[in-house]
Amino acid sequence: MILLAEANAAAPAVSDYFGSAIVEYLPYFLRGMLMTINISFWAAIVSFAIGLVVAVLRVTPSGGLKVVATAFTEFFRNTPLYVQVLVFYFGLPKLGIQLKFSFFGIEVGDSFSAGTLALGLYTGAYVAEAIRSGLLAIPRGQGEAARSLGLSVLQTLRLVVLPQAIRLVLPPLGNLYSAMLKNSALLSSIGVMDLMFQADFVNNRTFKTFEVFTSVVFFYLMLTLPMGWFVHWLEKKYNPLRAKTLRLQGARI
Amino acid sequence: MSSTALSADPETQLPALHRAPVFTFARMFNAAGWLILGLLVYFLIIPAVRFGNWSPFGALSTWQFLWVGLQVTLFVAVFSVVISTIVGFVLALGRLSNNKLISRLSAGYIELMRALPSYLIIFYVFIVFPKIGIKLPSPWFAIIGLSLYTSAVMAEIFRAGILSVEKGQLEAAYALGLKPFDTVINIILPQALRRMVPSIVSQLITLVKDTSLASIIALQELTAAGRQLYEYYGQTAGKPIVLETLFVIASIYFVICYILALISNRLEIKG
Repeated sequence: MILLAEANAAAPAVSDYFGSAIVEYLPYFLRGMLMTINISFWAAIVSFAIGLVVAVLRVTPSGGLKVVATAFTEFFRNTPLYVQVLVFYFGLPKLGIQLKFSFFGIEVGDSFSAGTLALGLYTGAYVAEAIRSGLLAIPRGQGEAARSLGLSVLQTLRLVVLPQAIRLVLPPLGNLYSAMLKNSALLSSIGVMDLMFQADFVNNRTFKTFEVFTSVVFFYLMLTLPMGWFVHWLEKKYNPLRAKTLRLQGARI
Repeated sequence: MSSTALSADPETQLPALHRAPVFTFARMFNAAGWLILGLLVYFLIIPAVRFGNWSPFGALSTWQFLWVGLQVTLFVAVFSVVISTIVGFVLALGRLSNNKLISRLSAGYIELMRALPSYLIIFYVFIVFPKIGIKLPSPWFAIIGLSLYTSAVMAEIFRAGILSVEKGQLEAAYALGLKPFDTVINIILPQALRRMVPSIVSQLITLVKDTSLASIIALQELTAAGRQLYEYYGQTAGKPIVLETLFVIASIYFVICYILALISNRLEIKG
């Protein structure tokens, strides 16, 4: 089910004391953490770009694009991430779409790009909803004033409306991205060598299940807790009064 | 248009000096949007319907196979909701309790579970529990794993809802001589519940989607059924049905989740 990677073949021998698996395989866990951060970073970029475009399309008066954007958000928000990952990893090659490519001389595997795409699009749908709610919260007069001052449509969006909207939704965006970091764990199922993948690998090597998975809990806490503190700081900084309600909405993903 | 700029408007009898341009940015943008939609339909949806191998989905046995999986999904989802709502409510009260120890313990549990990936929690339950001697049918492992995570989120929703009720309500209830438990049940909850419904339903949607995580490990539910279906067709002769099956599976999840979202929207407008 979860493939053992050839890259991990040369593993150290295991001596036997409590926690030995963690100590001897520490480089594996650290490599896994780096991969989790790496794929979350790229997925964050994809999701923000997608979210921004889709959010703007959903509030424009263009009928056709509105249909496309709404279908996108509703589809990606209401189907499981795992099914989407399967679509990108197993489905797209059936259409002849290759996700393996080389980027500035770096080979990007198909599991990495499929995982980034699936995670990015899934989170992007939520990001789009968050930014859209921000756009709708900006008074109409802001856009109208900018237009009447002679700014073009794109300038109005870029210089007046979007900066205010994104500032308004920064805390929920932070929540979404910390949820995305957690969701990246399931990409191990298609062979992205993240923390979860390495944990499964070390477990299969050492059979010290309890130690390995309990330590992975701490490794994940090392990633997600600082993220949570950062979101809390954002809430306090940008919206102290609404912090409570935003915390409520943060439970969405 | 034959009318020149100097000809008079027939209705107002005023010279029509400025006529609105026909090709405005908004109109062109709108037209481009419909064009893109048309292209998407023409190049994605029509080929998918015409060239996809949909014949396995004409057979009743396929749907029976998926229905068995869907039953497990619904079973896990319903039991997880019930358990995590009850546990979440208790945890919320615990976190709001005046007893320092209970409050700290609940807060610690909530923050720990909210900081962990739900996949890791499910994985932990499935892999570690049998090792320490707990043996259960696999749906119950999934229910435990999902409830561990969802109860923490539910607790936060309940807590935020309870805190959103004005303090005067609590003080008035105490002044009237109600006990703390009666106050929460009769005064606070009815007011808080209305505000919590959207969050609870969206957490429910997340829960239904998260049941698919258990299929990665061992649970025989809808996604696992779909995966087996296309793997089976891939091994036997015939065209592969990977995308078709995934589309059907995704649609089933979509219908469940979208109905929940619609209910949530309705309640939100009413409340």
